[in-house]
Amino acid sequence: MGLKTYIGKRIMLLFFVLVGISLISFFISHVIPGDPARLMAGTFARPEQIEQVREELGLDKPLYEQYYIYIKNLLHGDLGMSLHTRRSVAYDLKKYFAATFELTTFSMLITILVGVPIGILSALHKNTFYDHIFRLFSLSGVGMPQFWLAMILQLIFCVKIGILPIQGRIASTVIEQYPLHHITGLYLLDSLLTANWPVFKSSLSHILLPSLTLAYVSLAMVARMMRSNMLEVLNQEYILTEKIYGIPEKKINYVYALKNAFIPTLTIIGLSYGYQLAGSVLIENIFSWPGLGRYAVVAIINADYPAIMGVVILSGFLYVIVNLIIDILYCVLDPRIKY
Amino acid sequence: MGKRKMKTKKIFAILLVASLSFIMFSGCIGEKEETPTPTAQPTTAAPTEKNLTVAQKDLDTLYIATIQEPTTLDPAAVYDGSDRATTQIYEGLTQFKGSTIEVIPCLATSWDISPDYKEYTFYLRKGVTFSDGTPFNADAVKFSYDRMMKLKKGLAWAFNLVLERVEVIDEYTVKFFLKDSYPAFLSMTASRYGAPILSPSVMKHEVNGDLAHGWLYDHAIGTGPYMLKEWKFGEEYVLVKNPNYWRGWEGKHVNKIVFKIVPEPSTQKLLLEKEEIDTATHISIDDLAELAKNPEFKLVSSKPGESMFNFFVLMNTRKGPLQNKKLREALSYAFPYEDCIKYSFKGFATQALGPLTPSTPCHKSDIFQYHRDIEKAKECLREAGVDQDGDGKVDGGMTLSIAYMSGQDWAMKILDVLTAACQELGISLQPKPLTWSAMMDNLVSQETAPDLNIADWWPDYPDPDSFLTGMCEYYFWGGREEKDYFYYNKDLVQILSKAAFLPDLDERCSLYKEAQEILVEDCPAIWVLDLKFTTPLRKEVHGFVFNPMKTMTYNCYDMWKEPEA
Repeated sequence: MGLKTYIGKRIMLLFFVLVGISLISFFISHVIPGDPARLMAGTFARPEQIEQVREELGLDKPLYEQYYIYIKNLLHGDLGMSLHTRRSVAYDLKKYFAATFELTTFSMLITILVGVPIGILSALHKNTFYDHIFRLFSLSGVGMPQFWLAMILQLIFCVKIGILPIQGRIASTVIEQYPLHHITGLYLLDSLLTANWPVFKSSLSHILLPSLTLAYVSLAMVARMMRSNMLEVLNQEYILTEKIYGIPEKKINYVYALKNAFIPTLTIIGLSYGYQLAGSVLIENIFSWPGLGRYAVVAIINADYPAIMGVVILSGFLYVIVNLIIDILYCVLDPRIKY
Repeated sequence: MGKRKMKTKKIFAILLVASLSFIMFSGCIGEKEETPTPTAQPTTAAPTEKNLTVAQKDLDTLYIATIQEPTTLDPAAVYDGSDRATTQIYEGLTQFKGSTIEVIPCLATSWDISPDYKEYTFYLRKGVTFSDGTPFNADAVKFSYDRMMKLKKGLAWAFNLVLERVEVIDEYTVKFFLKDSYPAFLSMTASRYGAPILSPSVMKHEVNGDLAHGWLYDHAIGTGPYMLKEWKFGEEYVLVKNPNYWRGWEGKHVNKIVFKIVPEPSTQKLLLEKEEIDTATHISIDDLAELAKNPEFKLVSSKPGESMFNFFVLMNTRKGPLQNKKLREALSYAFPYEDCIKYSFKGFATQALGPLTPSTPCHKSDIFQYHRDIEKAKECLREAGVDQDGDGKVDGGMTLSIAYMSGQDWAMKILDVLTAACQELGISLQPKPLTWSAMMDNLVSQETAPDLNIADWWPDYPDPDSFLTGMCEYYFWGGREEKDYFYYNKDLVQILSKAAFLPDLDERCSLYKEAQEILVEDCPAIWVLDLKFTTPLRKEVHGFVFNPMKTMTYNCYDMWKEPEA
């Protein structure tokens, strides 16, 4: 089977995955406690008002009929109207996802740029002082509660030293003075593309702490994974053969060994990236980051099932896509892999 | 050949990855946002970001942190924290004076009320315009109230119960005809949810007969001191001064208000300490106590008897062990009110004196008040027949379920205190943290109703009808079948429905006092405390006045910032 066929098959599969996700999430979101009609009608709504809203929302219809209508609209690209924000769910997702995408991608960059070298260095200097330090760093990352780390970082960098902002995505005064021309919806990228340096500086300073907090856990996992894979590869016979042939050690380590050791690490990176793209509730709340996680929590609290459905379907879609990309990258790293 | 094929495959794979990444960018986030096109960048050197983000140095702007963004800016539909924005943009015919509940003129300069409280005539202020230049007159008032009643959102349910029609007498006179005598109608027109005067010009934006409700979601045309400038969803919304405001801009004011959406109370506190905001709406009690010690802040609390926000623990009188009134009394005696206020609420509360707060008209000041008396509580247990061996504890133990709003700081404090008090009586509590909607859903049916439920209440307008009847309907019997009532007393229902529409104010008050007595006598709730509402402000902020009818909102027009000498 060629790569093209494989991708075609995976995309076909994506359709079934999405139907499955929509089916499960639709029925679950309709049985969670809380009556959306009551919420929409307002605190003091009379029973007849609540019924009227129920009728307007189509919540009085049998569940299978509601699902049929939902899927029919979904195929037309209509995710419905949020019961809480009263905006179109597609519009909301677009707004909130941009923030999450920016945060997650930035934190993933940190993860790769810091985690992978740490793992390699740990493996190359196995059982030395540096290795112990790096391992301690990784262990603390896996074990430390994220919300606690977030607050500690806020206290240190925002309150005590005072060099970074506490919350938000950008300083409102900066964006007011230097309006940003939106191209992708990502502040960092847009300001870079339009050479809007004050906005770039402000958004960079705002994204640093939340992305560092978010990166710490995945970074620790990646570093540990990279270390053990590297050690395993370095003990392979072909590495020994290369050494005998007199190939420079640097080339062996950073080209031949790294390439093979990186494949399992890539899986971890893909999984955590896909997972984080659904938004981090804790981090987004603490840093007031207007992302998907925060949107999802508000939706759940308010029994806003169209919004919940939207978030779940988008997350499922992204998870599958990210993993597909990772699978394709396997091919690039190791041409022996065939689909 | 094989090598070449592999290379082609590689290039294809890279291209595919790049294109998929591009799809992710463009498909999900790629559309251009509806924001103003970039303007020319200022040529003069702008202040640095550090200078600008510090609220203390930006004296023209008031920075307020709030936990959520508005659910709509349509003044006829607002019925939640969205009033923080709408009360700056819209005004009512009347308003409450300072920190009191006295009704004073606003868009109406005076009014006549018929002796039977069935007709209210308002004489309107001349020379007022909406922020879009539309003149304010009687037609605008009629339009606004008719629209609200037709829209059936927000406080419309209460207006629909009492208001029959609105008539324009002349350009600056408007008359309200009520279905029945209703002395509380005047204060309804001052309520933050009952002041829907908006420009008739909004109807240009009506779509499919929605009365422009969709458009008004994020647009606003009112007569108030501020106008909506921009709303960055999930981040902040900004109001700027309405240059044509009828009161003018003489004296000290702020030109701009920035509401920042900060969902985490601890982050709100950090922002306050960092001088990035001037005030915050949701600071926890423990953090308030800490800020009180900091000379950089001043805390403005409601004075004793001013607050209209109370907390109580509902007891299910129609199901389970709490059907026994003596057991309900035992819990009321066991609750350590003073300790709860002193240690859990750090003094930011006062003990409740019956179901009404003392600031509400017709409050019965000499009503019976429970005090912590553990011996009396144990005696009640014996009288209830659940302590046969006389050890002061329920024989064989007892478990009661208790529902509360998850994450609500105040409710959790009360839960902790009540759990300890119940343990002394051999009763253990089974907590059920729920979202607000789930909690209310459970209360609707006895099948799901808990034994106890921590609840809070505040009226829409300062009248015992809104306070007592509203509270009873909401928590005890409203919208349910008789079998599902949480508590029911036929006499109480009759009194409340009779009192609401009585034109004789003395008789009305005496009926409400009787109702309070019944509620204390029947003991369907532990009347715990009235919250002393406290707003933390940076010391540079002046002019804030707490009004019990505007909790968690601000009188921004009267506020200004000035460093202390």
